[in-house]
Amino acid sequence: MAAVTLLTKDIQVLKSRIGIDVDQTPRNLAFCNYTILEDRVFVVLDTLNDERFNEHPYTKNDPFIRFYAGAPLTYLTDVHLGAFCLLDSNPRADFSRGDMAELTDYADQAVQIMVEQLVQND
Amino acid sequence: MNIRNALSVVLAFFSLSLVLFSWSQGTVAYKNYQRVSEQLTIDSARNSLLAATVRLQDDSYKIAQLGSAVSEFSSSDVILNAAADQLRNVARVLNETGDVELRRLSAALLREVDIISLYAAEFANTVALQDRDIQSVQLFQLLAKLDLVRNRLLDIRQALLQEAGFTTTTMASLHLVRTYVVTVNSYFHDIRVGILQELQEDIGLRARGIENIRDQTQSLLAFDIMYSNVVELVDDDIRRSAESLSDTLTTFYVPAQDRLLLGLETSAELEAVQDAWLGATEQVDQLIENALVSIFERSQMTLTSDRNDALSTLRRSLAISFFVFLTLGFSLFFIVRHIVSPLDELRGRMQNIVDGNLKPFAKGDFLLKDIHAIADALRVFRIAEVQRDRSRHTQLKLYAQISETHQMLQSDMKSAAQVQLALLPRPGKIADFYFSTFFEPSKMLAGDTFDHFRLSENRVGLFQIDVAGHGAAAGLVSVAAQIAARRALRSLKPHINLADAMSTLNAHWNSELTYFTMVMAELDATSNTGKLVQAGHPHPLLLKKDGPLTRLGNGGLPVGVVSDAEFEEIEFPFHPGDRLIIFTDGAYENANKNNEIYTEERFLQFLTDNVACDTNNLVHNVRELLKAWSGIDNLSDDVSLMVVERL
Repeated sequence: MAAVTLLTKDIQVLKSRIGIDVDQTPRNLAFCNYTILEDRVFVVLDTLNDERFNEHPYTKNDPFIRFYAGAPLTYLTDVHLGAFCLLDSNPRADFSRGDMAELTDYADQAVQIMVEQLVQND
Repeated sequence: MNIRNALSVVLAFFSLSLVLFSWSQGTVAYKNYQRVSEQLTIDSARNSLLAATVRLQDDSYKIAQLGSAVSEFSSSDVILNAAADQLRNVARVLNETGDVELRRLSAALLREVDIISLYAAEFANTVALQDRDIQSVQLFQLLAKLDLVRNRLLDIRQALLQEAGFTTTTMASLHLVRTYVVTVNSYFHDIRVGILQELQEDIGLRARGIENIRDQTQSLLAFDIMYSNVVELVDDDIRRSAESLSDTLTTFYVPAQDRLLLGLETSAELEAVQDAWLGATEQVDQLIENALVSIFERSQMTLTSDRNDALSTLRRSLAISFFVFLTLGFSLFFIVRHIVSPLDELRGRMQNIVDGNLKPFAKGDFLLKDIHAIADALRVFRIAEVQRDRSRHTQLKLYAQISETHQMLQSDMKSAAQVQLALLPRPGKIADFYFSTFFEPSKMLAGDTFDHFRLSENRVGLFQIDVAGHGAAAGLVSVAAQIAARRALRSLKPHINLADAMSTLNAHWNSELTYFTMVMAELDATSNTGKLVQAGHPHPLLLKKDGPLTRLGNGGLPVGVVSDAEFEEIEFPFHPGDRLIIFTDGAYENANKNNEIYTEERFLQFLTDNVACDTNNLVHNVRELLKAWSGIDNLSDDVSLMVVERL
């Protein structure tokens, strides 16, 4: 599963998604809330081993998320619009530096596309 | 040389060393095996040779018995031919070994076989004779010839021994014991044949023969004692058969023989002692045969064991070599598959990144963690390069936008500067006054401005403005200030106080615009007077003809700071030849390359030093001063200078 998410005050909008049925979720349930707190990739190799997520509704219920990796969509300094994230119903043993770098690049490309659309609309 | 070639060379040398090492190990093991196998064959052949020799000896004994009429010839006895057959077999075995020396010995054996065959024929002819005496003589002659054959066979056996050598102390011990048995056998054979010869002699002729036999017996016993001491050195189980033989000889046979010899000398109880002696002879014969068989079995067992050991060593050597080469092969496969090939792949990826080919590469499945870490780091480097490319692209776009905007701004500023310059008056004469000016903005647009114009036939008005700051904003404000000042001065009626005009200007100045300093003056040629009002501007200077330089004005607040500020009008005499000098603070506040300000004091001194110059030259010298101090192109503040001379 993969998604490009944007966080508003109350909801998380899934602007683009693969393998996910919903197009938005309540903001307070968004894994990406943690991603936008920092400038680097946020990784949870196994949600059951992370006390922040082992009781999370999306862990205990459908889609039974066990793995999460998200790169923040950085627009301006300290302005994170959302995240480019990967999800899996199976835990993973590793998410390497190369994986993180490539995920960050996808996030940068997503921001670039959004900025270009913003400029065109202006 | 790349890693693959270097590794090929190193591993080729390593493999070659291994091959040579394994080859040398295998060769040594194989040669050892071959040597022990040959020894086994030779030992068997030697034993057969010995057996044939013993048989020949037995045949000789039988011939001696026939010769001495102790027994009668039986056609069932196979005399000599069996020994010949046995020797023929030995020759064949030796010939089959392929060894040159052994073949030579084989040929020698065959020659002896031929001789024995001739003797066998001779024996057959002799036993067919009717005359017992002649027959006996011929048989003992044959015995002498057979003795020579036996000695040659023993020589051949010795040569075989030298060819084979000893591999172990056990074999050496066995040889020692066997030599003992064979030697005893030789003595024993000679003695008993001698006794048989004496049996058929007349009693009167026996003495010498018996003496000879006793000598031989003494030699046998002496040899037995000497050898018993030597045989003491070898293992118990090996020497047991020799000891048994020795015991039987000394305690049983020799007494029986002594009794026989005594009987032969005296002819008393000859029959009885002869039978006892024959019995003892048979017993010794049997012991010799048993000893030889036992030694042969033991030597065969030892050599077979040695051969099996050598075979095991050879097999082990081959197995180790096989395992080593298997390991080498596996190592080669592993190194190429999991180190060299991945490094090739990573080198290609690195070169792609360096060459700017930033296509994503497959994640790859690398067994070794180190290689995997390098591959992962390369992914990071690729992304860093991708981002650098993207940043460079964005940077160039931004530069283009900045350049375009800058050009537009420059163009706008140029137009504005032209407008600002157009607003400034030209130097020259108005009424009885001559104006000379100097204006140099630090940026394209200046915050400085000034104007002078005729107010009535003999009156002129003038002002100079310095808007706070410089650049575009100050330039635009200076235009607004100039318009306001011009309007204030033009609408000035005669005898109206200039201070009121300045106050009005100040009161009406938009408080959102920047403040400015200003000097406003009116000069009257009729009354030869001038008056001015100063608003925060540097003090104007009055240069009387032939007189000193005088600072005019009382300072005052800049326009636009306090809306109800008050200003003071100063009046001064202004006769022909007098000059009024007005300037902005940029005239003395520009810094040189050492960041040093020129200062008002030095500027006043400079003007004092130049009072003798005419007006145009005075302005020119100020310009040169600025040029020398900070350079016209490096001004940090706008500069305006206006000199008015009363003509």
